[in-house]
Amino acid sequence: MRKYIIKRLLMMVLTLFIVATLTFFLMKMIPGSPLGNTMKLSKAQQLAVEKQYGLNKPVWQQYLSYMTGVLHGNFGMSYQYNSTTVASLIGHRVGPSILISFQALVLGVIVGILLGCVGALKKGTWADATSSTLAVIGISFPSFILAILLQYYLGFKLGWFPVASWDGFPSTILPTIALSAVPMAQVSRFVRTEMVEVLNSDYILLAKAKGLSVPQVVFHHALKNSIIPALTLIGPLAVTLITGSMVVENIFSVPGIGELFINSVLANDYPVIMGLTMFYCLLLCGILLLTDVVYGLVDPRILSKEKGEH
Amino acid sequence: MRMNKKVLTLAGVALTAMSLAACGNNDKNKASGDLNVTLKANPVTLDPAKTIETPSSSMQTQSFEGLLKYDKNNKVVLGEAASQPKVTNDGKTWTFTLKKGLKWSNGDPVTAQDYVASMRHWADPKTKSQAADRVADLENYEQVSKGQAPTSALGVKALGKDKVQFTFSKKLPTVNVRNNFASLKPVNHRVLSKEGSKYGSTSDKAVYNGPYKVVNWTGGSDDNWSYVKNNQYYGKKNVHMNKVNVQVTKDNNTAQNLFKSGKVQETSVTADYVKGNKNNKELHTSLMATQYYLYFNGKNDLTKNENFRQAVNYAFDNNQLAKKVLQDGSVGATGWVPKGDMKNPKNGQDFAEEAGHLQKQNKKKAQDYWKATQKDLGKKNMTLNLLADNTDDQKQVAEYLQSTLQKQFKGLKVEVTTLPHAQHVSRDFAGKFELNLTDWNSDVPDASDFLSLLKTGNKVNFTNNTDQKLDDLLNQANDGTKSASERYKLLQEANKQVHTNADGVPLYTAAQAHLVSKHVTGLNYGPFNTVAQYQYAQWKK
Repeated sequence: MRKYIIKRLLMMVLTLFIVATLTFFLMKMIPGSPLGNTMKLSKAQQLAVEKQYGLNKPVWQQYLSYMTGVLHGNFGMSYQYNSTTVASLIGHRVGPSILISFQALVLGVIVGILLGCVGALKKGTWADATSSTLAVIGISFPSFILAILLQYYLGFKLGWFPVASWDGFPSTILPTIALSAVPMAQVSRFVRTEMVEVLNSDYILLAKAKGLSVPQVVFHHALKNSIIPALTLIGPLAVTLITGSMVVENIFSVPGIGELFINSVLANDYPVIMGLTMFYCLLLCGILLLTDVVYGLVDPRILSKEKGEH
Repeated sequence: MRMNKKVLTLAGVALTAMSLAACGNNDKNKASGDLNVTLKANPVTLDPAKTIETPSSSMQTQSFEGLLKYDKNNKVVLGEAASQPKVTNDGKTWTFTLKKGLKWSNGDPVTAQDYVASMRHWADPKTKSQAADRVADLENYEQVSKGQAPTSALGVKALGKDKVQFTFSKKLPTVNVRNNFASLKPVNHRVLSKEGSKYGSTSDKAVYNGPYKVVNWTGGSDDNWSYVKNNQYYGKKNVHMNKVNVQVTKDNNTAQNLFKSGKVQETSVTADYVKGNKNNKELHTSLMATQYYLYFNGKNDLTKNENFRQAVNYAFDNNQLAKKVLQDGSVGATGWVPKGDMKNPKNGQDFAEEAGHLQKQNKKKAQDYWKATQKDLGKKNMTLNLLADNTDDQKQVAEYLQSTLQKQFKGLKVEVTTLPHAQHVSRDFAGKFELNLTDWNSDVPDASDFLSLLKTGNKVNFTNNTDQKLDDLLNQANDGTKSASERYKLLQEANKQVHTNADGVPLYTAAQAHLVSKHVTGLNYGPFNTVAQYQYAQWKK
């Protein structure tokens, strides 16, 4: 297992390097200047600012000096926010994004498991149909529409929650619910399918024969095996939530990271584009590694397979 | 059963949270206390020398004051200057005396040295200022900005503690200089030298001489902060709101919902809202010094053809474009220079109004010119590309232009390309367009700023056309020897020349729209000072 993790970590470093290099050169191919006021600057003024940023050097030199900086932990200064380091920009914004994504994931997984169980236990009944319908709606209904509806009815009309702000737990509730629809839907479909299969297996039949109550059968025996496949979903879902929460963040004025990324691309803010791409890449690799490790721990068969291989 | 208990507990927690959250007040009738407002984007800096975008400008308008300032009705009046400046006969040297007893929010006195430090910081190449056009007319700016002369060589010096003298490299129109002085802010030279490049990167790394102090702004990624009344401000008695809380709200619907629920008392809104709420008394639209144009590329066979340019100039009904398509308070352009820009120095009349309705639709003439174009080029069918920004309003305008041109000119096909602004600008500079929907935003009430868009050698003359007569008129107007009324006459002539030549089509003057609570008074938005000044806001009694 340790060897496996070390190998994966080395692969992560290589992945990061490749992603950073590709992004750097692709980014330099985007037309347009990173300076936001080229219309009003004279040619001499523009050249002077470009020289200060080192933008007058050949691209390969810019690449080398950027990568040298990264190796020293220096991700540079934003061009848009030109007194602010990239690390501090990302650092300030990553917390809210991770918080609402984490809450959405937890809520989505819990509700998803409950719906999945209900669907499987009451297979073919109205409860199953309702759970399936909710799952279809969750997957097909864009989270931003849900966000607008939640904001309008629960925030504006009923005044139960803040319309938009970032001021303590209440302000995280609506964005959390809006973002939880997709994980809820996906987890409930997975759990339902697995649970239906598990409920028909011999050991469940044995548990029932022993006279255990339905909740005992479901929660102690069936659920444990049914949620293992859903675990594989959690990693990618977490990344999707963090990177894909931009519109929901905007709607609820959450000071998150999504919009920073889009704006940095639109404004050719090279250091921020690089910093965020590498951050996302690291996050994705890290979560996938974590998921694989957890998956191995939950299902020892996988761990022994890995041991056999390595 | 353990799991069931957990589920019940979780459900309980969620319900409690929901009911706690439901305890919010409905502030619809708020008419006292803090003022709450929104901004559409994050400000970048509190350093005036580094400011090129509206949110930072808004933050600095509340917290800094220059020698001159905008009053409640957006007229330029005395700010920190005790009296009107003394201007030498050649018009190049301006000397201001500061009011007595001025202080920064940390108690330091505001001195002439603070103005000198600010100008030097602005011109210093290490500042990487993209707003350098503001100080570029000061003597020796060019050498200083290139690092070829020390910043002390710049045309600004302190004559004692309370006198500051600015020397310009040439005589400039008085009204332009005055407008510029309303935007140039000082910096506390001690704080600047202590903070260095970090000056203004958070609210703690600056001190304030304006009506408000900025509080709890932790930098470009912060979405919430406040303006708290500055007790050191000389005019504090006239500042009515003790505290203004700002929330960055990027989503338009959210901003409207916050306003409608009474959580904020001022917010900006987009055209979509204006279209459906024209009778709302809390909606305020105001024109900006921003004019939209359709440019022709002078290097393309079709768009360099004078008959074609004339045909397009007669094709559009600008009034219809503004009233039916945009519907956001914008007005159709009647000429190259927007309404509300320059005033006749003799009688105060508006430049655009005196110029008359030079840009008019005439379908008959348009048809005649189109036929002449087809004859010139020996072709019946032609295809053109129209380049525009990819924002909603620009897409709508581009579609209107496309459909009008295709309807009026049989055989002409117009394709629209929309791009993000930065990429659009790079295509402008590279000359990679045929028809180009673009705009110019001016900082000074001077027609010359708009007319020079078509001057030879101006780097933003994207048409690539040259017109010697226009160049001559503009050179004469701006040579520094003309009186204000002589200059005005020359600029009116230049305006006529622009219309004769038809290198571009003026389309509309853009507007901005705000929702301001009926309980708040004193907020006005001007063409050159487009942000709210909260020092003038007060609760209606």
